[in-house]
Amino acid sequence: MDGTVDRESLRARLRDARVGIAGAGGLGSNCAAALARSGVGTLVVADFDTVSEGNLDRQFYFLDQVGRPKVEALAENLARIDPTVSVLPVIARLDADLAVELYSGCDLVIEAFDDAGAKAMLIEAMGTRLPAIPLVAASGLAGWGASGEMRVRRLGNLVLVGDESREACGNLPPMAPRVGIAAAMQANEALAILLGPMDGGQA
Amino acid sequence: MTITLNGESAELAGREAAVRAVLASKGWSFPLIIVKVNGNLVRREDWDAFTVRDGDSMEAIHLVSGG
Repeated sequence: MDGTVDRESLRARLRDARVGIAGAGGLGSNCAAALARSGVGTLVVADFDTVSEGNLDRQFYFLDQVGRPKVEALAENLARIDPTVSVLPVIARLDADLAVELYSGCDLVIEAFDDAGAKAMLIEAMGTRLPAIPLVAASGLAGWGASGEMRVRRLGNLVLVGDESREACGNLPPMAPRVGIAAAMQANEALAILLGPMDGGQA
Repeated sequence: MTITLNGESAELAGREAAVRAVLASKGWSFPLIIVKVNGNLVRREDWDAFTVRDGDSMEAIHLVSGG
């Protein structure tokens, strides 16, 4: 690493960053935790849902939070990691207009929806209405094993993680390890966007 | 004409082709596909009107549920 870039200056750059997170389920809650631990200063998290017992198999919530709005529970959990991280919880089902309104001031956005149609909606809205803001999306993370098939495609300001194939369904549920891999890859790509390439080369 | 499709060279008939025709020529009929041409997102409602030409770069992303 460049000797002039010390740990403190990296933290300072992340502290100034504002990251939008669309969805606070398996991808969004775990990605938010990784970004908060990394020191990202502001997270704008939107989700309409409440925590259910069935979410605890992969999402960053606890049994005593069942029934509460996810974004509120997540803000509480992130504050227990680092109370200086500013979390702006938005209890809403995002549509294109609201996403553009919420995320127009962000340095980048994480697409963390469960539903493929919602993913497409956000990618189209960002790509056409906020094309200058990077979007890190995920597709294909259900099941288990096949860790090496999780990959990253960088298409300009759209970054896509996942295997682009394994769809969640009855006999192929989303499970903690692969969801966690995808969420960590999204957070990692977010850091690469915010900090630039690690070795002065390709991201 | 030759375009770059998902990072690989692809030969297509004619001098230009609609985005929808390119997808069809590859047999890609998934319900949720995102298309970018030369880095710009092409909305689904524009797939018939928007054409690619020789030398263009087109990316198609298949979205599946899970998160």
